[in-house]
Amino acid sequence: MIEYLLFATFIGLLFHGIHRKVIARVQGRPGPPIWQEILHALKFSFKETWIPKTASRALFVGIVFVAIAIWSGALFILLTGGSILLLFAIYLLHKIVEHGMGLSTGSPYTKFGAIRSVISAASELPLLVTVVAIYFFTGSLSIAEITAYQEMNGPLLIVAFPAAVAMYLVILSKMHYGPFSIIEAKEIVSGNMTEHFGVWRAALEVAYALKTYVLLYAFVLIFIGALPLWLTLILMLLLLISLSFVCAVTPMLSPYDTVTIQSLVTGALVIYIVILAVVMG
Amino acid sequence: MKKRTALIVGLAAGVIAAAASLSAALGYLPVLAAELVAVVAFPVFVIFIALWWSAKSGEEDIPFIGY
Repeated sequence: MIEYLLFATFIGLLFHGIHRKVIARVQGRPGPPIWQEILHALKFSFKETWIPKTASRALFVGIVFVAIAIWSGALFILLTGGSILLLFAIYLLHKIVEHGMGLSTGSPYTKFGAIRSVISAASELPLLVTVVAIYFFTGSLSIAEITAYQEMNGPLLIVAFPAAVAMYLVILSKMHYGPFSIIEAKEIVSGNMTEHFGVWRAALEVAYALKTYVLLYAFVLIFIGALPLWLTLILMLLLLISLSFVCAVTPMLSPYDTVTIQSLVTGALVIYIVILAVVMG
Repeated sequence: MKKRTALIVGLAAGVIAAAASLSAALGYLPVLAAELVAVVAFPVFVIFIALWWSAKSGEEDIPFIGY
């Protein structure tokens, strides 16, 4: 099991590096090498590590353990074909992690990040609608049954395209340097991660690498199906590159605009769900 | 925390996770149990190994603090 986690961490960090490289190339910059984020995590792990005097020590340290643990659990849910609702629950737990991380330090910058993470809770709404749409088509919330359905009936990406767009938006809202990355915006330094330095930041890099891997893998599993590993990785990479293009050409939105856009998308999808309910009985 | 303690805890977590994985592969442990062990042990492994190699050994030079 730990081998899966190490593999996912490595690929996730590599994907983060590719993400930065693609953004840089689109913006006409040379950009860092694609293994930069692996070096970045290692660099942080060698740095001096401390806990701020104003921090709640237990929460400050504990939240880092929880961040890695929840995305490790999410990876196993995908690998064992568990319920998509559990994946949704982990996504919500991550919101608590973001919030707790920001509040644990006592720094005003991290608190702003924590507050923004609450504001950006609207990003969970499209995921909820995605879950409902998938249930309409497959009659199940089990990932194993969803992939089995796709083997029989073709990818959900085609028949449930609006739901795939919503899931795409959910992943986009969690990407670094994206239009919805308001919790780590530069005007609040590094947002809720500002005070987590040294080993704590290295561990958070591991958690975020797992998160990126899990979200991309979930998209491929839920909307395209269970494929050989090499093909899954290629599709995840293509998905990532498309997300990087969006991040590269879109400025970061203001906090309230992110909520507006995500709420509008959710509203459009609710209409889609209602139409589905009427058409499919 | 002492550097040696961080190493022992980190290695112990890694060994426990690897042992659980091997046990599940050989059929001695349910897969779900091995996954739960990995979920708990992996963060401990990552953080304590990093704490171990970032900890000072106590034999560093006195840093240059200016003339």
